[in-house]
Amino acid sequence: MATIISIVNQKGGVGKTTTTHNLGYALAEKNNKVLLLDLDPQMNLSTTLGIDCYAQKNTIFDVLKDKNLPLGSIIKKTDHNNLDIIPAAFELTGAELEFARKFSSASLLSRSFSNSLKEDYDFILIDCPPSLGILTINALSASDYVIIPMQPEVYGLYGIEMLLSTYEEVQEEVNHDLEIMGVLITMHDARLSLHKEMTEKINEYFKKKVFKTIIKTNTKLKEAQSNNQTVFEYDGRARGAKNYTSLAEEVMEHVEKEE
Amino acid sequence: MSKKKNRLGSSEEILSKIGSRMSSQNSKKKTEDENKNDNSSDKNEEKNNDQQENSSNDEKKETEAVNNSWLDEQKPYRSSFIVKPDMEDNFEDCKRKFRKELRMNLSKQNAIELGWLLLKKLDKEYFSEVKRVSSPDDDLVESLKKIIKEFA
Repeated sequence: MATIISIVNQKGGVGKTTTTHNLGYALAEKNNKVLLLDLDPQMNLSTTLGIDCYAQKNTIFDVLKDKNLPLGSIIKKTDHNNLDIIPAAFELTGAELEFARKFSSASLLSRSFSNSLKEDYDFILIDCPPSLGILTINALSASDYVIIPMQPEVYGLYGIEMLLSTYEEVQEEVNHDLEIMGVLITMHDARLSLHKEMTEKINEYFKKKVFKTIIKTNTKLKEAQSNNQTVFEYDGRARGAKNYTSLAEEVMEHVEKEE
Repeated sequence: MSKKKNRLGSSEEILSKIGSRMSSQNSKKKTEDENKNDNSSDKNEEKNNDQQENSSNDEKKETEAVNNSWLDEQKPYRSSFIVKPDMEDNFEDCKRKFRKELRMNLSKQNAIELGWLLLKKLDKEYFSEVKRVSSPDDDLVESLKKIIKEFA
């Protein structure tokens, strides 16, 4: 049965999409069947995987709106055998208006995950939009775990405080089993004293809720994106590839322990 | 004398707040899990005592339950059917919620899930009939409303 993980942070540019894509690929490389779900109306993940989001007949937005349209019908294959994707849709920008931010609309996504779909995958990774609106709430409601990517800087911390409130609200009202798997430090620049000190403090205060893996700043990660590739496809020996392989191992270890 | 720069500023205060919220989440979950385990081990102890006396009866009932399991009968429909485990534990709350939500704008899927849970739990003849002739994919809301009215 699939473990569903949301990659969440309402702050933009912290590496949510990069993490979803590369972690997904790393897990797939380790013989896991992985489904990526792009809930971000910016559609970056889908575009990177070569999908023309405007050309889809039915989209994730239609599934959320129409209870009878199965999620399985909009899954797309990628070049990797073990990696599939549910693309984002432009209409998701209007999701807030369509599904007002109330808890009766919080389970639209979880309801669409059928058991048979969950049995087809080992991991489902949800790339969330940079907001704490109804799409993120739906992702949290459907998930077993949350991964919070953050840059080791003060603005990132303000965001996490707000995210925790939403997380607590969803856990209380809709999904009691939701758990924070960990905060993932991204874009860490070892040359900056601020990043070093902040990382030490994050480890001190968050204790086990921080991944041991740190995603270090790496030009290859950005270059890979420009080429619509994961860092593994672009340059498998790059530091970014090693970081995401180690993250995948940590995620698998965490899930195995819980089982 | 050179003074060490405070690069983190107010960050440490925020970190400490977030850290304690995360750890309180952790301990809350741990306690819940422990309580669950305690309850199930108590139940198991009671069961063990009873089991010795009623082992032959239990075997009979088990065989019957397996034969009559509506889940087995409805196997083809199980893929679209999810009942949260806590609903199994808090059946009364679940029933109340179901009645309440039927008066409100209950989504079809929720109604079906809760309705099937009721059908599973309550062994009345009427329910058995519904169980026999319906599946979780049918539009059960109307017939379930009738059932609830009857037993409310």
